[in-house]
Amino acid sequence: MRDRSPGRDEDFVRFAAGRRTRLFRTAFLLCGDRHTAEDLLQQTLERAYVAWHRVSGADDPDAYVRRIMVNEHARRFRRPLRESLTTQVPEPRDGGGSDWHETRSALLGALAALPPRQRQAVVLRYWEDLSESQTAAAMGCSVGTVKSQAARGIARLRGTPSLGGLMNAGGTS
Amino acid sequence: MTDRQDEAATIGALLAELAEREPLPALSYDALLHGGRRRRTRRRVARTAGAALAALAATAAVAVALPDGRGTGAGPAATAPTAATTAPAPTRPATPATTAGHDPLTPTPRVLLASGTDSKGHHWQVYARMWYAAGTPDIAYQQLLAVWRDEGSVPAHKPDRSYADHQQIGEDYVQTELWIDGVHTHAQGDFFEADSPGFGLGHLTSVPSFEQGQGPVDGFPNAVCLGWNKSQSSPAVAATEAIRPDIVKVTVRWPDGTVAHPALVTVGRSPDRFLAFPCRAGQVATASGYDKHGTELLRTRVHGW
Repeated sequence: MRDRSPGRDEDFVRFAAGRRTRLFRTAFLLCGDRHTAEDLLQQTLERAYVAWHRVSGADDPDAYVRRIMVNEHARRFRRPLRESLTTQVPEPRDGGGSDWHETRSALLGALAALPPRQRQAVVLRYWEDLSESQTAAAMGCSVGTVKSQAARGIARLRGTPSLGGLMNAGGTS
Repeated sequence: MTDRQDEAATIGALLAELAEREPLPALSYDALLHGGRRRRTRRRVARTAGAALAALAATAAVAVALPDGRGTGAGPAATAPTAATTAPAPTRPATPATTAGHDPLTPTPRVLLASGTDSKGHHWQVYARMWYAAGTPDIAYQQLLAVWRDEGSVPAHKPDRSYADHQQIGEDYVQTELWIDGVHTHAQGDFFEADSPGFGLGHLTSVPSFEQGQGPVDGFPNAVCLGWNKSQSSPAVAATEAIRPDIVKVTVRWPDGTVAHPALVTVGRSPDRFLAFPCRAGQVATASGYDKHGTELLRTRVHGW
């Protein structure tokens, strides 16, 4: 089997360890529940391992892996009934207060209501803080599509009754 | 700051708070490496297996006991079900390179992994066949185009030769196919779209239920969904590729207690074996693989779509 050298694995593990926090959080926002997000993270990193020679040799390895994750998320969504986003959100694990629980539920519900491309555009633009061109590269689409998808996503979030007040108030803190 | 910038900042802050309050999962790097390796071998199986195994592929018989009793026993070793649906012949260079006397541009005959009939009376079959390893980059590229043509997934633009990188050289390729009512669906590479009709438009992709952290019990890394019914009233078909050689038995258990034992089938000269079994819509099965001593070496959950 090729490319099973310890050095290759060590490089990959080092890379994965350094990115897992951010990748998981992005996966969580895309998927809406932690179990599906864990699956998405796992699959993303496995695919990154398979293509490690390309990932590690890329000008921007993070962008390469982000693209893998977005593709994998899109692929999952296209499987009927596999998308796990729901407005019936599970209880949080962090013991946050009731205010945060309500905010969390509202956010997850609002994200769940977005079509996946809009959700991807919103998450990549406003959580990953990518530029429009970087988002377009991750989503495999044009900058114009990113603009329209993100704008529609934001508009839908703004139109969500439970989120409208939060956005007008400038967040929870 | 403009209103739009302010709004974007607020959205960013909300998303950040949502994401950052979620506890991080444990990540097993060993499981990750194993999963990555197996994913690599999913289609590119080692070329070192004895060529004698190829003979088995042509004669292997399989038997799949469907848990709901609607499945069929296995048919004889497969040939292409209908000539009319056979993919176009690959483009051949003047002097094809071969490995160990095998033409990398001519796949083995199809081997039936499993078959059955869904609740709407559609007969499905899952086949596999091997494309022998290409020895040179040129042949690897020709083989890649041939495989893509066969799968109906050649991109509109001429594929870059870099697609046929070193991963396509020196390693055999096992291709899995879903046939519905005698027609090859050419499903691989296609996505199910909401307005697509019916069964058989699945995407060949991994089942995402990889389990971790169970000591020697590991996940099936290569379960693939080959098709499903849009209405969810029919069972999806799940296939698991590249069951490692030391697994001699696979058991699939359903929540109602029924059990299936899908056959492990040799494809070409692959040292790994292959299987397929039907899912049940909306149900989660547990599939386990055992060695000759009855020790459970593999386990995964398989979701019915």
